[in-house]
Amino acid sequence: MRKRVICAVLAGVLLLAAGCAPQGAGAARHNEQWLAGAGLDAQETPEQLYRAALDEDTLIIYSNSTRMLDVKKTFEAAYPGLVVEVTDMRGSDMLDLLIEAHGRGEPLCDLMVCADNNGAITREMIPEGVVVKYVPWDIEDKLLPANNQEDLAFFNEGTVLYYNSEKYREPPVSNWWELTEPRFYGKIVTSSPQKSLSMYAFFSTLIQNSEAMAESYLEHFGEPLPHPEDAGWEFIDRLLKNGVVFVNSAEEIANAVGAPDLEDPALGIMISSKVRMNDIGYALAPHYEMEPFAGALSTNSIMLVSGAENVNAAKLFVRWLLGEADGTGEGYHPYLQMGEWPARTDIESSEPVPLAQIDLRAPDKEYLYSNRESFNQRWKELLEAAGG
Amino acid sequence: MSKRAHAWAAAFFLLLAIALAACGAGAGADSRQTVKIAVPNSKFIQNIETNYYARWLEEQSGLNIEFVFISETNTEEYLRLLFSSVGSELDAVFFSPELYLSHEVLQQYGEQGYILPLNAYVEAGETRLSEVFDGFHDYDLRAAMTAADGKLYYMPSLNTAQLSQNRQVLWMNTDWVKALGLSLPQTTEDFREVLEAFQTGDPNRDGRKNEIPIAASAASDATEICTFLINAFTYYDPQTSGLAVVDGRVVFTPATDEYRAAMVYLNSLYADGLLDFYNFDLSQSQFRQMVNDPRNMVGCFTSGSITDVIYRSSTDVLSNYIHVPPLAGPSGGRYAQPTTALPIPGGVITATCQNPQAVFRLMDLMLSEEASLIACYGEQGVDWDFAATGDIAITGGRAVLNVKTRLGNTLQNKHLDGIGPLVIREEYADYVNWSGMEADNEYLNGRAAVSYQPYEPKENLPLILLETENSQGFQETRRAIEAYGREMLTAFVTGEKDATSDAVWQQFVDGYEQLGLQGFIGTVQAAYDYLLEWRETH
Repeated sequence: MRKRVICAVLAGVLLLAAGCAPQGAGAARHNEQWLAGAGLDAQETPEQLYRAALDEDTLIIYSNSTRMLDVKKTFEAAYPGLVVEVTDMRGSDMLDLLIEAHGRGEPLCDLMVCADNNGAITREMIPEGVVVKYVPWDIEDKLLPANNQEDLAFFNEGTVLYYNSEKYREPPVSNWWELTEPRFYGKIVTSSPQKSLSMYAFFSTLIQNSEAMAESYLEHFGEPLPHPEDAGWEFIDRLLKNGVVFVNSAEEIANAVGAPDLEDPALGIMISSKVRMNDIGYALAPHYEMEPFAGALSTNSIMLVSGAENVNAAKLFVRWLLGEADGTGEGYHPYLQMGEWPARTDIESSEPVPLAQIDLRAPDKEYLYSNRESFNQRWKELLEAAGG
Repeated sequence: MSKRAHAWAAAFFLLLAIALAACGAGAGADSRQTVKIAVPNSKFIQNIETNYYARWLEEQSGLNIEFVFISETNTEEYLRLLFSSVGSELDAVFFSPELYLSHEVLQQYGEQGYILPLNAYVEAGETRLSEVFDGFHDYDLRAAMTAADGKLYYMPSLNTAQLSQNRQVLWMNTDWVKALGLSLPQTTEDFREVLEAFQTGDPNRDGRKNEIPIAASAASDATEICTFLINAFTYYDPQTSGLAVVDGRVVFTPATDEYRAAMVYLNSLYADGLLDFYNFDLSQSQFRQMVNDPRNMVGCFTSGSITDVIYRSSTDVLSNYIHVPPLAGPSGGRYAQPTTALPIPGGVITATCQNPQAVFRLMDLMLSEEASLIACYGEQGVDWDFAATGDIAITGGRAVLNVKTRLGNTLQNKHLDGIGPLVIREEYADYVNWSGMEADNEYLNGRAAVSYQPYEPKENLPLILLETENSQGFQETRRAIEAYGREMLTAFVTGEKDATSDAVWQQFVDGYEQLGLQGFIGTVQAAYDYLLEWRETH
């Protein structure tokens, strides 16, 4: 009887342990097995990947870029029989979802497309094996080293200030502090850093560069700030008190700044890729010459999700997105527009101003990852104090 | 007894107690009064027996609710039989925004004794319905819901949201605009140029001439594009029979020179093959199929909500379309049609009801703020919550609700898909957050609504004034004027009648007069004057 009780207790303990296991060693083992089978270093041709992908299921992509739908269309046309499902969602929601699902041992999708603008991709998801990098062997040497680090950043853009080129012949401001002046009260539109990771990275970059912000304050107003070490937050505080308007998306910012026929267009801080709305008649123009710097660099990563079920289709898609080995593939076209700079050395940008000529500061991923909570806390306090 | 035996005995009695308690709960539930309510079938409700809102209503009302589904075919006939059959044992009938009976028909049922008037319950004490009446300031809601015999026959389903609602929006295929290097049109002439390019430029790049520059369906006002284009010339609302208000005076816009210019413009589009009336004969489902065709065949269309036409799950099709603000016409016209909160019947109590008081209380509960939030957004804390500082609404400004799971037009088991008495309150519906998905239909609609609002006319003639007007012959005259207007619109657009001919135009205007237009305008003017007086005191 006693033995039976002990056995029952042991069985219970084992069951409990098994219940907890997928979060830890078991999941890691599963990841290793998947990684070994994924063949991320294999020198496969597109034809080999295509044949293998035909035996797989629908390729599922979570993306914060709606242009991935355009890539999907050309991919499906180029590779008949393959089906792609793109789920468009906000970056922060996507990262949370994938991290949570990884904890349960359930990959929700095969590929993830998102900017690492809160540092979670490089500081958490890659180290913990939530996502892994795949770079096609015959494209790797054509990538800019900065775009091929822990993650594969497949294109570059910036978070900068935009104006309406029909209303202004030239950029109306040249120093960020001008936006805090009464003449721009209620005339600055942007997204909230509480919702938009690119805006979080932008404002964090201003905070981290407080010294430079303090210098440009002195230059503009002719007197020093009392607390120059806090110049970034001082700028944010003044911007909030100057009635900055927060909208949901960069598309709404583009509407307020550059939509056709605007009587009183605003200035907008947004990601540069939205300048593509000029293709349908918008009049958006960037402030690339700003003191103390033009804005924050933003890169979009494409990563394989650990445990992805459709590895061959995913690898083929990454190749397609990067324009194939010779760079002429149609998959890269949606990301070769104004306000964007390619990750490849062998492809020219449509943007007339080279990236090297614009002072875009690369956000510090470690800072972004470590300071999200304290940033949100102080942001909320300032927002409430400003009546937001 | 050993310690172990004590422990077993304790465990046994504990289990027994739990089982009895469970039985007790069941017995308690059985002792509740059961009410039998007929409801329209909804493909979006998983299981009404386990539905969250339905269970919440039972808990709050202390009633057992037994739902009976209404047949989807021959609805009116079915309902007539349902009401008139002896021993149907139905206590109430709930309606949905898609399936309800008109005020006129409900009054007939009331007069025939099939449904009960609610006046006594409303007047007996404080009710949520009275609160809704008192809190509504657009017009006299109680009077609008009261039948000609002075009786109130139904509990309302009322949507007071305005900022997030659209009557008719032009959605344009940006994939085509980009492919042809065009700009979004701002004027009627820009629009013509865009349509011409759509027709000749192979924007879907399949090498075939299969492009449809405009898709439309006359099956609903929202998808009938002529109305949208007429509004570039003069304000025109087919729902108010072409009546509008300018400086307090009710005017009839189809008899104006601007409307005439619109007919000439529409006919020129038709003559150039840019407006194809074959498409106008499409049913809503054929029209939807055309727009959702994966071959990317349609350049533009109009609708209220974009997902009234494009399937919510078709994110790649949704991502092709963008709203275009109202077009400006040659004489400076540029109008959007405003929305008016209109009560539709949400629920009625049948004459066979055993406990009308209890059913009234149930329907009154459904008008409460808490019930409405569940009825619209599902379970608090799971599907939605109140928004935090910094959340931004789909219409701009500060969000009030953070909706985590969009339950509209999707299979769910949290609410009744708009069935039954309901008040959608603007303070919530217009201030919902954005889900973060570009293809979120509420977001797309909200953005369109914000861009259309500046073009709404200064004065709005509420549709309710026409809907509830009971004077002798009014509704017959209204129907005749609207039918004549539709017939002549088609004749002008297709060129069967020449709007440039003074004689033809005079004949057209005279046709309205012969239908009693002046008397019709006079009746609406009187109702509008009364409304203005009422507003001054409320």
